[in-house]
Amino acid sequence: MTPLEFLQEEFENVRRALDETLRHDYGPGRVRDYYNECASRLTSIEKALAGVPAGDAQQISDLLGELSRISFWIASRERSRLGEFSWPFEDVLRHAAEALLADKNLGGSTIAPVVHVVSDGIEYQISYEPSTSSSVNTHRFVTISFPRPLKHHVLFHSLFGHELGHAALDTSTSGAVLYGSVLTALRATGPLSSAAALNAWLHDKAAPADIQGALTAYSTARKIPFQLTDRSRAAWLEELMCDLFGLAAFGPAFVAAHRAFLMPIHPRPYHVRIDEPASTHPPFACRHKMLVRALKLLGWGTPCTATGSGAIHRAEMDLMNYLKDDPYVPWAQLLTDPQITAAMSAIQGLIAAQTYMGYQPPTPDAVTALVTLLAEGVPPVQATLENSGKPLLQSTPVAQTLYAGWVYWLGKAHLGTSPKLTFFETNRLCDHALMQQSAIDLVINEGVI
Amino acid sequence: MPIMATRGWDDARATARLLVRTTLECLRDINKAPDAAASLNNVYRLLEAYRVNPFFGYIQRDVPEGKPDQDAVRTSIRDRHLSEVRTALEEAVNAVFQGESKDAAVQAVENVLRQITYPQHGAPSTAERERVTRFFQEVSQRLTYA
Repeated sequence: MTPLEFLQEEFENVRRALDETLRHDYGPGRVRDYYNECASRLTSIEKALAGVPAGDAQQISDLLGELSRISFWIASRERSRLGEFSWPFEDVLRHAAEALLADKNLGGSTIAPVVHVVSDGIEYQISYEPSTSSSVNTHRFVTISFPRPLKHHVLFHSLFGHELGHAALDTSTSGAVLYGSVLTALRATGPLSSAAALNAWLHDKAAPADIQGALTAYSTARKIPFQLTDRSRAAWLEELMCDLFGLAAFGPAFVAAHRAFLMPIHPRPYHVRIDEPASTHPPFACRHKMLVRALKLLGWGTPCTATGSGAIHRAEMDLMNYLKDDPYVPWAQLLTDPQITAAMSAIQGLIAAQTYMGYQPPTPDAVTALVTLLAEGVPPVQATLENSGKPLLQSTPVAQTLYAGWVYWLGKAHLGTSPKLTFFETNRLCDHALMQQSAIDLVINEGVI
Repeated sequence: MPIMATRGWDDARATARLLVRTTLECLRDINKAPDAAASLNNVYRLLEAYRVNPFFGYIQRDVPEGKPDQDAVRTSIRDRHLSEVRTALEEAVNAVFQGESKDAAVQAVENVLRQITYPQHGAPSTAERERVTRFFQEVSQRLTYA
């Protein structure tokens, strides 16, 4: 078998795989776009195959790579595990991804990605097909990956806000804003303005003992002082941008999830990875401190309800105290207030312009209604009946439902009667609320009633 | 290490080579190039990523070859060797668009691609077309040995 014959055989194999799987409806809706994109890519390769000289080993190898990539997308669809993630949250993310991750083509048309959702692995991930992909026919694929063990934990799912930021960086539309005004703000001054400034900060006498000890151990062992590279600075800037992106998308619920989820896996909050070729993430303490400052600057660090709201207000206070608790030394502050304000303003503009996503504080009445429902063990949606039997329906943005969930969870000591809901039960109720809210929004928007 | 570990199926150099090869075909005669619009839009996306993203190919996110991912199942295609693609583009810009900014150079290339893909945007001059052809030849040459 010659290399060209192998390539032709491989092409037929991939075509068979596509027809045997995606030709059939695989899961509810939307599979057609996915199938069409894969089929179009195969058609392009078929056309290219016709002109490949038998002796062009490089082109044959490169086309085999193309076929492998299409096989990857087919296999990815097969193992979606559709029942193993929160469908209402998936719907939220799908809409956000289609709006925020759309790109422009050469002709100026807006091209939305084909979004694919899986339950897989243990991490929150949103992966955009690389910008270098040569096989795209019209749409790039976006894969949203829910961590399998956290099937119903919608209160943690706001961490997807950070991942959406990463994917948005890989577009020429949202990416232009993030790499433009947001990045300009974050590196305008201070430790992130240059690699030299970052290393001066790292080696500063005000650094915590944990850092100083690690740096001393490194220089003793290697006979040279540890230096963060400019690549690390770039990676840190991207991570901070994505944290702010998550905050803009989901508000205080993002900060709550960020702290609850990340703090336990960072037993050394100031730690900088000096055992790897390049440190990819800033210390957790720096990220938390930035988010706490941003919350205060945005005015999201105070309860929505007034003191007169009694138990609900006290529950909100408990959430605020949790969010704003910043036990870390001033050294961990990488950004000034004007830097954070400018960056957040640009991100909020981006989100507001392209999608319904983006946090706005709920009204005091909404907080009271939603948290009271949770305390009664009912999904938090604003849907009541008039005396005449006519439903009174209100649209509650996802970020506000999550906010109510966190208020209940952290302030439950002030609410309702025992036994209290577990964290899992609180999540299940919020998950149900998102599903019910989809139906309510449909009724409101379509004018069914 | 698995026997297939040496296959470069997620090698950004390979995809860039394919893109450049098709682009050169389109610049020679767009009517003879298969799926010209789709291919040139893929090149455009690559060029825009390089133009807009100052960290394009700069931040190392790759899992080293042969090292398995931590996740049980891979859900994304890694972009290995993106830094070599960045270098090839950078050197080609410097070779063909001496003294011009990266933005201006990339947009000049994009304009020609736009005009040959969508003739309603006008037609590139012979000099513009030749310059863009030279640019992709420079990229191709660098990717061959990257």
